[in-house]
Amino acid sequence: MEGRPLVGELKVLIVDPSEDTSEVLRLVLEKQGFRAVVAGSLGESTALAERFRPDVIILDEEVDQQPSATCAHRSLIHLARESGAKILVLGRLRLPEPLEDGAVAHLGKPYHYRQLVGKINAIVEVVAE
Amino acid sequence: MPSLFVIRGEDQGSRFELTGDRITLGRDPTNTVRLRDGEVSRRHAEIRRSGEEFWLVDLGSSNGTFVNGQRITQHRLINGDQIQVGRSLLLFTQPPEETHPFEAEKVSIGLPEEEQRKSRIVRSIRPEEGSQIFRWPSESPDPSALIRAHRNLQVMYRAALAASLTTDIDQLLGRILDLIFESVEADRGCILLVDPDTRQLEPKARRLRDTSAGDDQLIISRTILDYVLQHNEGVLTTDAQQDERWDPAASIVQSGVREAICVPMQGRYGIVGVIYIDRYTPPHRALERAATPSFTEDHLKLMVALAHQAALAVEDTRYYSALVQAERLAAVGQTVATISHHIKNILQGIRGGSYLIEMGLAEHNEELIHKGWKIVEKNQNRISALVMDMLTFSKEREPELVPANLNHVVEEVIELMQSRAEETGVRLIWTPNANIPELVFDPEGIHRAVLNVVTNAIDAAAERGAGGVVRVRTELRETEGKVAVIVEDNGPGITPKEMRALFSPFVSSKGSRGTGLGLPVSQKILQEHDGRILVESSPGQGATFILEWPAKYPSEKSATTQEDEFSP
Repeated sequence: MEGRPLVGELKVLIVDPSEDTSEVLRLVLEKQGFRAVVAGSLGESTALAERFRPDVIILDEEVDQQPSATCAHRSLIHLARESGAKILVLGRLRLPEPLEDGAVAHLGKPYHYRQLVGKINAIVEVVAE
Repeated sequence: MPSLFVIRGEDQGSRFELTGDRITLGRDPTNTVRLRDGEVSRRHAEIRRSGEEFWLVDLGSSNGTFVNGQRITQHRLINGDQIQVGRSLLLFTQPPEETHPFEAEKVSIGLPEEEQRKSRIVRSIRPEEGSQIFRWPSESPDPSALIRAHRNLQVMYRAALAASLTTDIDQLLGRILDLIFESVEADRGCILLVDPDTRQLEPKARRLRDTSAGDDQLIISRTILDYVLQHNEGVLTTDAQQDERWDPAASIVQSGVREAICVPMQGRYGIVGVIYIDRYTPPHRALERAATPSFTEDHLKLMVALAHQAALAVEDTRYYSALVQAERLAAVGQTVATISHHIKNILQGIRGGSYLIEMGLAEHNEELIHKGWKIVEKNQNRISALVMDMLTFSKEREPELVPANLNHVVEEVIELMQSRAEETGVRLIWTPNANIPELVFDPEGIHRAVLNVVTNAIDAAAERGAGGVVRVRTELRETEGKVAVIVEDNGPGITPKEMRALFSPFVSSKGSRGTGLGLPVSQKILQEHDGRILVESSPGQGATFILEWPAKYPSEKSATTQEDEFSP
């Protein structure tokens, strides 16, 4: 298993429509010493982001395909900017150029969880600095 | 299937398929094609099939049998022929059948140095002059000119008909050559098309009037082709020199005369090819017919008009093929992308489950192993369902009809879905109709169709939170002779926009959780049972899906089977 993050209890918000994936992510991140919360939709994610103030947001780009999601997406980006949260986007196989608004890293599906933990640790190092 | 379509007369609009070797036409009810036309004889004419050919024979009728305005006693029918008997006009149509493989090497373009006897152009016309085939002199009306114009119009009509009956360029070109051979006394003919990539002329179709006369090479003069292409003019050529018809030492006496017509196929955006025909007159005939050449200016004009018609059809066919190809590629691309997307998500689930198992094994944590295994198992089921749906959707299949108990089939679905309903907090209520007897249907197919609908209903009801309910019941509608499975949910309902795309493949309102194949597959299965799926819903009011199909009883099945077994 991967090493623990450099800083104490960092908070991760998982925004993923798949219950399976978000459950695995939550368990994996908690094992790594993070505090993790899960949102199944963008609408849910903004409320959680306000309350939870995450350091890292893991955002699955398939989270919402409804037109109303654009507004929620903007709110989440805005909240992330305000709080300094870093966004890791999960989605397309190819890395989008440039990265989506507010995102600091990208991981294409299907990813391996070791890769994901490695990405999060790299982000955490930046946050810690 | 070749057929006769009545385009005028008492039976206008009737179509008669021409099956069998002899088809009789007449007023008597015993005829294969019975016409309620007082001017038609009781037994008027007969169509005899000989291999792939259809021959129309007049049976000594009082008023005669006419094909394309000409009285006939016997005539080989070709696609587009108009048959007149009495006051009735019938159109003969014969869908293009497989033609003999065309041997492109039998047509070649002669190099200038190989053209031993140079042909010279005796007349050339611009494409726009082709329309003159329908004109006749206004000052001194010549009845023969009117007849010619009428014939030409018929040829053009049939060319247009040939173009409308096929989207295969090779078949179209073959038909055009057939039409030319009917209208012009050519010995040989061929069509060369400009290859869109290389811009070179490629032979595409060839005809010989007398196929027994030898299968010699058709060499077309490069000089003439170049002239036709460069000047965009149709030409009439002869290899006889200006004065040699009167010179006993000239080649005409030794070799005869070859006359040819070569016309450009002028399309909307350029020349798409050329049509070439020629006729050979042997030495003795050449001298006799010195004053009457085989091909006339009228022939040239008709050829120009036909070539223009053919060019438009070739262009249309090419654009149509390109469009179909592009649509196919787009559809394949979209299908591959959608399927890949689903597989990617399933794979992600399996990786997640496997990772939990790995963690559980490392930590000797049985709970983690169990959680991981459940995720792996769920995603295995998802991929299995996806594959089954894809197979059902893509294959043309016959349902496996066997006697089965519908309630048992639906009950299996309920049992299978119970845990999913519980997980999502949905109450799944099952009400079987005890009066449903054993029926004949495809139990596996219906199981799949009901499963897809119930799965959707649970997902929809789950959006209600704790109050989600799905009710499933079976019904026997004896007066309608139908059986039905009804699935009701109290989910968010279906918007009119969603309703329009409800049965479109790969369209899902469930985002990444749905493949968009479930309902199209269920619909296909119901259609295989001559049934349908009815949907009633309005936003916020839940949805009701009714899967109904004709109830078949085991006795009907066995009766049909016996009939099949004993039929010769």
